[in-house]
Amino acid sequence: MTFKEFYLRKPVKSSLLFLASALSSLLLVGSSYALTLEFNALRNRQPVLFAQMLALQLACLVFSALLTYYGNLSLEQLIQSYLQQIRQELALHIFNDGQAHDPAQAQNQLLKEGDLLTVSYLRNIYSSFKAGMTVLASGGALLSFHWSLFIACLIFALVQISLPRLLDRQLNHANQRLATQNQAYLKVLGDWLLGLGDLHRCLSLAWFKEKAGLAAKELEDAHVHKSAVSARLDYLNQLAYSLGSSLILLLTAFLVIRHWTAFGLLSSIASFNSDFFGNLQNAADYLGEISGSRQLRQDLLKQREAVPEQKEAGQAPAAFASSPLTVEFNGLSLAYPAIKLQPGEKVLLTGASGRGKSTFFKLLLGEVKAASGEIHYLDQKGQVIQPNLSQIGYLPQDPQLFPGSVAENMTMFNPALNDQDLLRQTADQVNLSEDLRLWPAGLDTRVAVEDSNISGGQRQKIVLARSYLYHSQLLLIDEGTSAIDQAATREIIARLLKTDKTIMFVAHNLTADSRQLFDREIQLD
Amino acid sequence: MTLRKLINSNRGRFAIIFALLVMTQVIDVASTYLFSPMVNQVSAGRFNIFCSLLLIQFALALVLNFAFNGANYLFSKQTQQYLHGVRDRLADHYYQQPAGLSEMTNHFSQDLDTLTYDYATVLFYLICDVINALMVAASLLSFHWLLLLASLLTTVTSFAIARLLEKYSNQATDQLSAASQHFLATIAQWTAGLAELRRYFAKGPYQKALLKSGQELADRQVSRRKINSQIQCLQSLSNALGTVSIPLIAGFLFFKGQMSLGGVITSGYFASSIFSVLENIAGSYSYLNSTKSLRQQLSRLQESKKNDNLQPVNRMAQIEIKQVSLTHGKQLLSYPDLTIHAGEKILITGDSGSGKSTLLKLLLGNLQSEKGQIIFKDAAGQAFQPDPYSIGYQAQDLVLFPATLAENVTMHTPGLSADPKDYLKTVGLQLDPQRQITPDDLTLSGGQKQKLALARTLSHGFPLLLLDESLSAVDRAGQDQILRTLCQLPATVIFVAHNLSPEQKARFDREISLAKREHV
Repeated sequence: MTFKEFYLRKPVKSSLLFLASALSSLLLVGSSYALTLEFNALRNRQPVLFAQMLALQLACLVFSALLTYYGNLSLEQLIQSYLQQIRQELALHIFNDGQAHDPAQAQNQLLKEGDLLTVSYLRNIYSSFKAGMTVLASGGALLSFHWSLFIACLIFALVQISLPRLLDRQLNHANQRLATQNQAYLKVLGDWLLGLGDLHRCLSLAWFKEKAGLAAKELEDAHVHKSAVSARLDYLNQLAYSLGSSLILLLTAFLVIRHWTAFGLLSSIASFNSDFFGNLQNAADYLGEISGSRQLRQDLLKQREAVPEQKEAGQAPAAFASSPLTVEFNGLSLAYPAIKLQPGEKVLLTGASGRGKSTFFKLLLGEVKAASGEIHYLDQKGQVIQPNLSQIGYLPQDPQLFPGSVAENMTMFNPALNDQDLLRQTADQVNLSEDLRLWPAGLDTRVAVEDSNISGGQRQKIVLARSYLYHSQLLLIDEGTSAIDQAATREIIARLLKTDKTIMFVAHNLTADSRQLFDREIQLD
Repeated sequence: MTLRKLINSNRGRFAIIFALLVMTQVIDVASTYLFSPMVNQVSAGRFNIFCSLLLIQFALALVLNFAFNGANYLFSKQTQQYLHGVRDRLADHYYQQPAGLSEMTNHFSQDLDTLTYDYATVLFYLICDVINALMVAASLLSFHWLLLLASLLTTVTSFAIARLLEKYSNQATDQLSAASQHFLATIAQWTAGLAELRRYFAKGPYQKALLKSGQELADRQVSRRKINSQIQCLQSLSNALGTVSIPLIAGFLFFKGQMSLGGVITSGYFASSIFSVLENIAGSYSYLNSTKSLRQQLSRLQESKKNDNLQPVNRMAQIEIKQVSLTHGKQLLSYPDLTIHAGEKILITGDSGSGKSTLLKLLLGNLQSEKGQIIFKDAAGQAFQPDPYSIGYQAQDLVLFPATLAENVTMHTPGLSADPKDYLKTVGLQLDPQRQITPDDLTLSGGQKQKLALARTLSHGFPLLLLDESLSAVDRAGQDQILRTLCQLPATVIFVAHNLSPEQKARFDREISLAKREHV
């Protein structure tokens, strides 16, 4: 996140915003100036001039309020449209980087970090600009009274701005710790809230509260820690402010006594002074917080970097041959024999639970890397090819549906495949037609992801339909029919096995006659 | 969150905070008063006395600064301590009545952050400002009653504006919270299936869904900012009138000879400080109000009530299912009449979509039937309402906890004497009980996860077990072993499964096959 990028997105609107903010600052200082002149008029007993200056002061305040309103609204619009762009880039990055993303982490990236940054970065820049303009305007007014007042103000300006750097690093750490704890807390919430039913059934309230309370405590401590760091930062800044304003007052009194400046300044110097120092302090605070968020901003920039899109390079594999493979998993290791599938072969893969059948599929899909051994992918003629792994059809144990229609979930949102006849034909192949008939909206039935209106078996059929529509030559099915009833399973398998696809199927619970439909069975022992 | 509850979470500390704040404001007003003699000394040409007064003023500012930052830090501690209690009570509430995951996460996290920044922090400054306003008002009254009257009129106008527009501001905050919840849910739904989306290059719909929901959130942010800024602008305008009215009155009094020049200057200082402070108060007030409905909602969520009419299911002698039907996912499900006796082992089979899982949810009370009844009766034939949490229910989507295997079995249930090793052995899970696992553990296969969840269910000795496809990923030999144990339990077992072999089916007392019905 950089300010330049933010500004250049909508240069005209941004310029107007900053212009309005500068004007509103000038008007505020103008109202202090009018106050000085009012006081002079009083001292000289000029009621008409006094009334005129009062009217001038009122006009300054009214226009300043209107400009502030315009500024607030326009800033929010600009920030939100910029945030949308950031979200878009983050979403793209998450999609293209090819890594697994925990939903809680994605939520944090896309929502919380962005919000945190707008508060501590863009808003602060705007506020510090506004404060800076007030400093300039009141500084100019002071210069018009006496040059030494301006010099004194300038010296303290430098002190004010350099001070926050002293605590910069600590505040950086505090912010980072807060973000980390926030993410850890969201993760713990996700893990435990999902199982509230089971926890209640086992009367494990105390355990749940202990675990959730521990994570909450760390988040709360991070909040308190951050506020301690901020308090120290504020203390130093306010100290400098008090010192500066006292010395300026001292100087003014000296100038007045020497008759080098008008007596009337004694009444308004406090007002100019508070405009000058107050806003300087604000600017220093804002700048301190801006540099405090530097680390987070750099992280965010990194997260937004465009990742080259995974191109559909290579050929669609039709079969494979693997040498003996091993996989390491935090301390556990799995070993596989050499396995070769001929193009068009239909193989049943069996083995005890925990033997690594699903992991073998993940190896083939490139989602898990082998510690030793390698896999060669073959085309229809059995020649070794450079594979495009995304062309392998895969039916996981827990198939994932997306918010959209049943048709969209079958085609994976590819409009080119969205042909009623094609979809109905495919539905026949996977025994989904009956289910479609039972849904009044048929193919257009909406999938509700959270309160599932689609049963486990229906889900598996929809996902199976994907691999038909995409003509996958090599199909890996991991318990892909475990929730489909026996008769339908038999029909689906029989139909699958009649195709020329190469199929590797993991299933328990197949009936003997279903088993016999396969060319062979590989048993992992 | 209310001020009273915040105070009560640690009264001693709050008293210190309050004392510190009062001290800062007294010092603040005293410093302003000090300005009057300082001007007089300059006017009389006595520079040395002026310098001593200035030194006193600076010393006062040092004390003020220290006290204010100390109070601020203590207040943050107080807030976090209070929020800890809120989280604790939310946990109790959701333990009794769970809700959707993103809704619960939003309340635990995002909403509490909103309370910290938009309520607690604002409240802190409000307290300061109120004390300040009171002191300054007293000072103004010491000059002339008209000055105080003018400032009070401005205050009333400011508050009236906030009060009149509060409804719109509240609406905007609610809409923002809903949009943020929806956005969180959208992110979770789409990123959960990221691998699948990548496999099919379905970037377009993923991006479209996230952006659409993100845009909604952005629009809500803007409209909330708009309404709040409008309120703020109206208040600034009415305050501008007030700011000008003070010198107008003071000038009038001066020209009539009722006020000295020095009085005009000092009253001007007090007036300008009272207006900025009142503007702050009104602003904070409307800000506090904009979180009102969120606070009310959260305080409702902190109440948890237990339904005392519920009876443990171990007194059950039989369950009667009579003419039960309901529409689920726009599909009509109707069930045959059934009577299930205590201790029976029942197998439920049927096509996908015939309502097997739904039947278990009906028995559990998670779903209500539209027609017909499910009646639990005790040995005396008396109907009772069963406590759903006394039923051992295992859904198709298992939940594992980030803890050891043994803890995942015993679940730290108070009074449970079961040895986790025995139950891991019963289900045939030969893994180290002390091994730490995660909810989405890649080192456990689907079958192992099911076995682990079964070990948990079996070790807790539920009198009624509702098992939904609980062995679907377990190998045939493992299924045999576990079914043998299950069917010898004294408990009533209702087991949903496809694809069991005839020998496995024979272990059950009865098989009930559900048929698919027409839609409405």
